[in-house]
Amino acid sequence: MVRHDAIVIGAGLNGLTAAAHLARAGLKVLVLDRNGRAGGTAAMRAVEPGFFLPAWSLRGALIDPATYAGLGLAEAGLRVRAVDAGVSWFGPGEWTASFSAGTAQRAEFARHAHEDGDAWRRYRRDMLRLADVVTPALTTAFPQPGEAGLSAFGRRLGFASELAAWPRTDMAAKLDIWTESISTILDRYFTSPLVKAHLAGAALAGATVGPSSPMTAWRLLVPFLQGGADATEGSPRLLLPVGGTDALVTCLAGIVEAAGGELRMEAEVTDVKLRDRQVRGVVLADGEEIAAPVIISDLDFKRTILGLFQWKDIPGDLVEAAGRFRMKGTTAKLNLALDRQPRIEGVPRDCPALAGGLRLMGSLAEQDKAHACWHMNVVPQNPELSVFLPSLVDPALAPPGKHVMSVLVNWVPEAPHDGPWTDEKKNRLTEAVLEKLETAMPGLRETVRAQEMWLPHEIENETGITSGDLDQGEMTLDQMFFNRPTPFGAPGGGYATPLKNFYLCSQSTHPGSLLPARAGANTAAAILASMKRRQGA
Amino acid sequence: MSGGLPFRRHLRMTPLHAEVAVESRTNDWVERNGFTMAGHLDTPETEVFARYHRATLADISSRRRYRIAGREAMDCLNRLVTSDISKLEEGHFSPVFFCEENGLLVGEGSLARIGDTEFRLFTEEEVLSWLRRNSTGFQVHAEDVSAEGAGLELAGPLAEAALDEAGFEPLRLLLAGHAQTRELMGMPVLVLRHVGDVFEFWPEEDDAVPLWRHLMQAGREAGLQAIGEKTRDLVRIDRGTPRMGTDYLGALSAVSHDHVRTPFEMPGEINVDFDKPVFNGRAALRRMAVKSASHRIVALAVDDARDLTFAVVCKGERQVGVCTSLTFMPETGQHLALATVEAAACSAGGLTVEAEIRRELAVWREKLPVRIRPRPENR
Repeated sequence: MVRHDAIVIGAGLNGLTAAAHLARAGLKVLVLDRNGRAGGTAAMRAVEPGFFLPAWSLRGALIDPATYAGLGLAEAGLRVRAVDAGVSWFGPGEWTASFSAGTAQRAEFARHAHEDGDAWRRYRRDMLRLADVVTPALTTAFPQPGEAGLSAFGRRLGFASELAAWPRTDMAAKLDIWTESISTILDRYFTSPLVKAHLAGAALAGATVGPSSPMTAWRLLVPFLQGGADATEGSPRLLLPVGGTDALVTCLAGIVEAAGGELRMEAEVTDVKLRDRQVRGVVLADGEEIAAPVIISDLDFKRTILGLFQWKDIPGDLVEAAGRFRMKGTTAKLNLALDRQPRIEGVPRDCPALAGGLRLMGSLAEQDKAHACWHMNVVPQNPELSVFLPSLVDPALAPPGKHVMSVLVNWVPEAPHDGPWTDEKKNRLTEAVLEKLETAMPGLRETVRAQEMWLPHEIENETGITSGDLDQGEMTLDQMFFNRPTPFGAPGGGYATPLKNFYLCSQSTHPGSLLPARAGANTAAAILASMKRRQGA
Repeated sequence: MSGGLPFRRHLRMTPLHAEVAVESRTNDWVERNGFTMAGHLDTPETEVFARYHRATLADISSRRRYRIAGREAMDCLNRLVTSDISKLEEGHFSPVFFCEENGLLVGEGSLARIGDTEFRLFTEEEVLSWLRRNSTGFQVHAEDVSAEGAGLELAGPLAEAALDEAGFEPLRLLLAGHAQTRELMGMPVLVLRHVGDVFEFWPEEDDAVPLWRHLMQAGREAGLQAIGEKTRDLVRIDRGTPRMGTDYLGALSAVSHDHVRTPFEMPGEINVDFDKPVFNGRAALRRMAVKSASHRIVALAVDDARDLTFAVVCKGERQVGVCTSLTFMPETGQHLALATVEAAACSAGGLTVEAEIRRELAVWREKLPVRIRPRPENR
């Protein structure tokens, strides 16, 4: 029988990233997944043979190079393409875009309001200053409240001395980003409603909040955390794997297997075996039992705790915390196969920002309205859309001349106020989405060869993620940093649980969706550090 | 200047681009403020010789220009800049610094008073939205006029002779610090005269090409040579004049606080007038004035004519500074540089640079002694 050092439940990106890091460190890792394909929420599918696109998410996975450092992804064959970060369309001739070239970005915003070109520079500067402070906290376990030990104290001290070094005005700005709303912060810099809606729209894809909701401004930071600072003074770019998420998944799986690990698909874990609150192994749906000293779950926090354990065997407050953890479905997904590249009314075909996607999100007021409707479980009549054409980035994802379109429908309630989803309601929503796409891209409907629509509960059925929440836990301040998924009060920063040798690595843990796949890398680092400590002791 | 959507062309061309291209023997172009500008038009030696011993003409249209006008323009501007410009007479210009509330430089430039209530500001960085935010409540209007017109720089010891040849004798009477609109060949042109025989011409867009052609043609007798940005940079480094965005960063765009400077850290006279009761950053600058500056921007020279580059400035084994501008002066065989150096390390000698020296494919490192150069009298 093969001996495994660690079992990873779930072959999502975080699970695979954790497995690859552990395998590289010399551990024999076994990855189990109930689906036939790896990738989890970032998985791709063929909407029609030959037409591939991210099945549930807008873009699949963005690449954060630091997360994969040391794995040898390039040697495994992964290639990455950096693209400009998208166009927002508001009406014929009314659009704005993000460019990575500084002069182009300033000129683009200045096209809408002269001052906004200049304001971009200040905005970028302030966001990068904030990102410099936040990034170190994302790439490691976050110190837990009550956590003793010199290193946690040192980290806090480091943060405090950094705080003290800021000029007073900076300090205010740094606190505001955590307390203010998106629209308040944007009002401080920009005057053009188009520019503001453009930046807000990018920050709000898949969000449970609106641009006027308090404590949302930090969302504006996300592109600067993920895209990093480049010297060009433009917008941060999006780093996308060539070949889509499948290419990344294949490379990660290859790295695990090359290091002596194993991936088993269609192997659903139904139980985690416990003895003395210490995990011993897993039980598969077909009754097979596999033992391992370390078990890591890439399932969301709720499903992990409530679904893999007998509740009576684990601490009551853990069950309670998992029950309280908020997961909300907010997005529906429309996947289209197209006969030709759609023409966007008024936007030139050669606009490089189109590779980063197209947003049909409306003004700040419309975004707020859409959020308010979602809050009251009203199915949107004027849906707010984030659109991405994977075949613009990588033509190999569709047959020559043909295209695939990935449409994320934002603020879609999980359970409509007037009763559960029916086929009729689903069709009405699909119709509204196509209608809106048609206004921006006249003639689009004639070119649709195949389409499929996924509602939040359908995404849950397919991926197993509670409520179809792509963030795997609402990304609000009370569920971030040491609160993600819940303060366990022990070293291991939310990755190590009160159950000995049982770890969490999904997006339900810090830093959530702030940095893609970072939770997996952080979990692996936490596990390796604790092994090293034990060996030393 | 070329319009259209910004992504179509990341770099724009100045109205003089075609004229400059005709003069180019090298086809060497560089980027400056979003414009394609000539690097060298001829060999560095030819250009440098012409600049220091004859006369040169350069396209300087990439410099940003703002028009500030209104009944309260003077009051408003006097609150923005650190020096007292209330004495600035019509037809004159003055170098200015402007700071944000922490006393950090937002920009620097030349401010010309071309009418009783009308000013032109010439800068390296974009400052329009900052100007507008800071002029709220004043009867003043600020606008970016960079896209209107073009700029020519006539410089060198024979510049006046070139003016004579061109039939612009009256311009000889302009003194350094004058900024006046004159009619040249029937075209209105704003003329600024700097110290050291440097004339700036700011004609309207359509007039730029005829003026350039006329000067080039007339100046041939005086040995007039067209030069590019690299030689202009050499002159700037030789004079010890830092450039915002290269030698230090503006407070509105610098991500790191370490790369912004205060007026006290700039070379030359300190351009801050505390007799003025109110201006941006006054309180912070007052606090700084009693302390000595932590860093200084200084001009350096390395007496070594080999092909080399350097960036790190050391005192003993310790790094005390960074070079931000570097050039080779063919006439003296020296490498000249501008560097930001810890103020404490500036006073005594003993500074070295860590040079990387190349010969064919071989590369090696050497510590070379470096001198801090005194500032020339006539900046």
